[in-house]
Amino acid sequence: MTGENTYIQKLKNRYLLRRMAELSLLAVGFGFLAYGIGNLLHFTPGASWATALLLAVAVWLGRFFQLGLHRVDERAIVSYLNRNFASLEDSTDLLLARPETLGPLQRLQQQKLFSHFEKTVEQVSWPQYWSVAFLVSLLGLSVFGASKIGWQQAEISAEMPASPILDSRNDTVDTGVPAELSESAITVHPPAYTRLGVMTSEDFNLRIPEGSRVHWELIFSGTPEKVGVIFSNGDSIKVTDSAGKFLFHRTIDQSGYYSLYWRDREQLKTTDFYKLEMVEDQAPRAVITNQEQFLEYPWQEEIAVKVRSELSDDYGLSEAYVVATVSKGSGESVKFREERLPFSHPEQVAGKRVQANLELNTRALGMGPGDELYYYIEVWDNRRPQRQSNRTETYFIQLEDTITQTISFEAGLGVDLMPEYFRSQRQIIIDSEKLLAEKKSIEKQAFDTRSNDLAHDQKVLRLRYGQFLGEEFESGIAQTTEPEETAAPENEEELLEKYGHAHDSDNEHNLVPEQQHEHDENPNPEEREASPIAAFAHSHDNLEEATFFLRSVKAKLRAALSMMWDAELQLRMNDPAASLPYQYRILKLLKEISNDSRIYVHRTGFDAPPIKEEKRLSGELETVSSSRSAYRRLEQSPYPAIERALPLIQNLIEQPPAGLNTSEQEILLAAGNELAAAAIEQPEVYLIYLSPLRALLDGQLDQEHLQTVQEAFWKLLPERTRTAGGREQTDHGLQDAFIKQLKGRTYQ
Amino acid sequence: MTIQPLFPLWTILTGFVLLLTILSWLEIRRAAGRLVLRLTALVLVLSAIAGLVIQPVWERVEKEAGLILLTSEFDAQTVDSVLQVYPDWEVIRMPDAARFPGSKPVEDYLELSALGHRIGAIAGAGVPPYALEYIPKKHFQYFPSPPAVGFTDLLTPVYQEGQTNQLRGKFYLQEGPLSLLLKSPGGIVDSTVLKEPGMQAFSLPFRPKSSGQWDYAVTVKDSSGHILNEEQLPLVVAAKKQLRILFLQAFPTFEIRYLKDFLADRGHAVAVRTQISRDKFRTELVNLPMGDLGRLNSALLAQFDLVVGDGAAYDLLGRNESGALSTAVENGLGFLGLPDGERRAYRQWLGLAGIASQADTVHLTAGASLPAYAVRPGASYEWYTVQRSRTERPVAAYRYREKGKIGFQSIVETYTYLLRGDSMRYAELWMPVLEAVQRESYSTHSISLLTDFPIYVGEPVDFRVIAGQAPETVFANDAEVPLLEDYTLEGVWYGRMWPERAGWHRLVSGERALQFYAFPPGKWSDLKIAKNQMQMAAASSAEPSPVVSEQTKTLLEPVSRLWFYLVFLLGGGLLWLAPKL
Repeated sequence: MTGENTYIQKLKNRYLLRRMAELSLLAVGFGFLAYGIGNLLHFTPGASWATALLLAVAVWLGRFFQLGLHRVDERAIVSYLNRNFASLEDSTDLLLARPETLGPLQRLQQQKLFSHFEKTVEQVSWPQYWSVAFLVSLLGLSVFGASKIGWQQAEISAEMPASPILDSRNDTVDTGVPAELSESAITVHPPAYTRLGVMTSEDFNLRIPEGSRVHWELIFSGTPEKVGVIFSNGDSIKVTDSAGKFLFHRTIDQSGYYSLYWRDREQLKTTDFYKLEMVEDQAPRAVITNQEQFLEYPWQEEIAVKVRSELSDDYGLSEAYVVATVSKGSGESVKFREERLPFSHPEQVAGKRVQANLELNTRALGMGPGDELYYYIEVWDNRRPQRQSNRTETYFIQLEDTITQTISFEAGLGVDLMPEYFRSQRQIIIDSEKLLAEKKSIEKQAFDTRSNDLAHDQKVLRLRYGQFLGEEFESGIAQTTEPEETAAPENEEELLEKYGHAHDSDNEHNLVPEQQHEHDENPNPEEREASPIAAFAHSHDNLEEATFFLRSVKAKLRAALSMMWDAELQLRMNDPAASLPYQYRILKLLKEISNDSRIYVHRTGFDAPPIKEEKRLSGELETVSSSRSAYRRLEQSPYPAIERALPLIQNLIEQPPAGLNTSEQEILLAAGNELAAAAIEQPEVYLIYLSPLRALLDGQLDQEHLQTVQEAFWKLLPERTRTAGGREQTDHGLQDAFIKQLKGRTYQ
Repeated sequence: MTIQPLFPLWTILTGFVLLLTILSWLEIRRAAGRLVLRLTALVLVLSAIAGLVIQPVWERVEKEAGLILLTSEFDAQTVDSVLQVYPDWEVIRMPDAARFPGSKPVEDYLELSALGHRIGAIAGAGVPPYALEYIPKKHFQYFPSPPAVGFTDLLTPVYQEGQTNQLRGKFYLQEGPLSLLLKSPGGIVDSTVLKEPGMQAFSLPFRPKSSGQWDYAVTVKDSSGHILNEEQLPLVVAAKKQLRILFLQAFPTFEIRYLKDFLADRGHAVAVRTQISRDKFRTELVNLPMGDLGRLNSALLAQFDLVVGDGAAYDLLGRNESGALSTAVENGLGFLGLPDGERRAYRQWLGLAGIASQADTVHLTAGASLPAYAVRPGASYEWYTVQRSRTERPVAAYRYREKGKIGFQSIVETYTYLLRGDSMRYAELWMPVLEAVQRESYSTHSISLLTDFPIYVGEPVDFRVIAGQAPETVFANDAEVPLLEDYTLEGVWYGRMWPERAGWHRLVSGERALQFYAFPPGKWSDLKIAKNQMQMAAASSAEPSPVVSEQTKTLLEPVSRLWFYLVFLLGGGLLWLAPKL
């Protein structure tokens, strides 16, 4: 190869190199341009770089193939030289040929070209677009730089919270930290009828009258994105911003608790649980101060009974009056007349505490011999929108009748409607009198025993009458009733049978199974617990209302019961003489009740169907068969979730884990619900434990929270009745030897 | 002097004689002068070799002085007194003991194994029981440190859920009053005030609300309410037991009916068999599968822990049923009788000498007064009273009959408590009696701790496994623990583990498991010292054994091999030099 030929190759390479540089500059320019635009359009950095790279490569390749650089070779260079330099006389091709392959003339021309080729070639200017490439690059760099500076500024503004900048929205200084509750004001507007003024409080724990409207005003150190409040009943309120203050209000109609929360800078903040204790408007109270509940007057034309009462209410009284009912007549012609009597002093009842008086005049009320007056005071308070009322016990005034009544047994009656207890009370009186008569002839111990037996009979009678009055299991009228075991109602009948003489019943010798037994065999425990009395009695919670009787009869019956206590007491003290006056009065009262045709007293006991005479006392048991019943009763725990959670908490105290798993969270959540229910009932005790519990559920498993929650759960578990434990021994040869030794002593 | 030959002496002597003979014969035949000198040199060489092999040693007897070991809180005056009596004794001290003139420190308890035979006295708080094992011959006298204010004893058995348990212990105070408070996880449950100086026993009742392992705490406060000390008290509370009870009654009674309902409401398994006629019964099964109670037999009675019946019901039992009941009781069943008047057969079955025909009133210690039948327990039996009246009259008691028990509850009309809604007092009347008379459960093996409370991290915990047959592998916190069988009692095994961290630990042997809590060092220090002192006092003797004062040591010092080497060189040199002279 000749030196010129080599030179042509160099020319080709130089051309390609320059073109490549131009293309690269152009591609880089377009790349920067694409990246800058991507940045300005808020592409992610990755996307911007990818776009830039793709465009640069595309531009480079597109231009490369457009210029045909892949086809450039020595001949293309020779052709270009021939076209642009006439001095080469279109003979540049000869430079590529070997001299030995040329003819003489071609060889001569080749020699001629050699002489001035180099000089000519130095003047070659290749086709280039440097300016365009530079312009594009400059543009690309400018856009890239501009976008980069803008991005960095945006990043700086986002990542440098410490540099305070003005928030254009509310002109507050953005400190970059989540907002905190800085100020608060709570205003309580009690209902107007309470006549209480507006109250303000800085404490979020509130104790407010029922129906109050509470306004909360919250100011935060920053501007939280979302503010809300959650109440214990599940209600939540989204609190809106009003000129930098967050205001909300709520009318309180139940006790509970609440908690504030707000979200700011991706953080959710909550306050403690605050107590919201509602002070209920109490019902008014009325007490008659100067009268006994049961009064009996001998017949007079006019009797004036002064009634003094004390009326009170926590906020104010609005109305009070005496409701008097006069009952007249007998049998089917009994008549009632009810009147509402205003107090004579004061005429208008108002204020928180009032002493009101009234005089009841029997003549004015039109009462005659044997008539009865029932009266009570009804009082109303000023509560809005619904007034509350209350009333006193019914008081009873009776004018003695001038007619004597006698008891007679109607022969031939299919059903004996005469209550059996009249005979029993009379029998006790007879027995008491007999005992007193025999006192001198019998020993003291026998006297005491018989007196005690009579007291027992009197007790049975009292229990039976107490049943009518809903006092089956009261141990005394003056004593307070205590909650019964669930099994108690089931055995009311048995109690009477156990204590009482059964000779008055239809099944006096227990010859046939009682119907009650069939009821016992009911495998359904719920049905088993239903008392037969429950089917007849009123199911109101009020003991006073759970009777069959009108209130007037109830008062008589209560008076009789009270005397039965006294009679029994004297008999227990082995003093039948002192007991007899009470017994006479009891009998008198019972007679009045029994003969009073204004009420219908029927036995409440079970009336067994009549037994066929041919089966009585036969002793045949063929039809009696063995019976079996099986059912399950599980011990009910009031706090099952807490019982599951307690061991879990203890484990967490022992070995604190990094976090709670799903099942642990579920257990704690269920226990938390039980705790929250207790907190509603007793916020002063359990409310403080809700925040630590929530912290646990949020994953803050530190010892303090764990121990606090454990304390709450433990405290909530009720005291239980004594349980049975188990002693376990090891089955060992020594044990057996010991037992063998013991056996010798066992059969001594 | 004695010898310690490397080989049997006869082989050495034989070799010596043979070599001497051969080499002497060779020297005699050798054509060189100075024969006597050469033979002498030969004897020297062989004697040196023989000396190396025979290894002669010097025997030296030395007298060893006794030691006094000082532990923490020792009384320096006491130590001085001991040293006056035994002036030649040396003094060593544990790392936690204060310095004493002339005392040498002992790094740990292991070093005591080399010095134990010389220890004649130990002063101070003492060493823990396991460290006493390093003193095989316990001839020492113990001089305890003066008692310090704090707990000296505390019983921590497994407590029972739903029962009034007692935390019992002893506390030493120098001046009172001090208050002890017991705290449950839910707060303070009880407290007591200790007034008189000196050792005071205390008892703090508490009723755990749930079974499991719980952290209680005991706090000591002074009269001004300032907390002097508070210690964690981890307790194990066993779950309540669900009883299986069979009631036998001739006719329905309030007593059994209410008791049945009370037990059933608390998840116990209850069966009631009421006799209608000779062979007809009304059966009520609560929390039990349907079954036939028509005829009492061993298989049926084995399903129950306790049979409760009155005299009327017992009289109606047939001969077979009475026999089955008797056999079942001998096999472990409990029978609780409800006396209802004088019935001869029933009284004899219960083992009572007499039953009153009518109920009178009994005043219980809990303040309750109830009707009860007066009973006179048979004198030929050993009775265990469960409830007694204020006048010490047994109201409820039981006796053993082989593996089972027969007891009585003489109170009647207890159901009135339920009628009044006082189920707590009703349970206090019945549950202790039912619990006491019920069938005792037997397990094939048991595991129990031998190390007293408190247990510390890094200190050994000893336990015992009693098993009818070779126990399964015992795991301590999932690590297998080797067991050592007792060489006198069959089926009794011992094991030891070292808790490595503070907290609850678990020993498991088959289905049996035992939990205990390991404290970090420093907790319950007063109790630990008191218990150490108690153990030390038990292990020590009133006076140091004279053996300690007469301790001697025989030292064996081998003759240096250098001498034999020098003799060998001398002999060899003469042997070489003699022909040249």
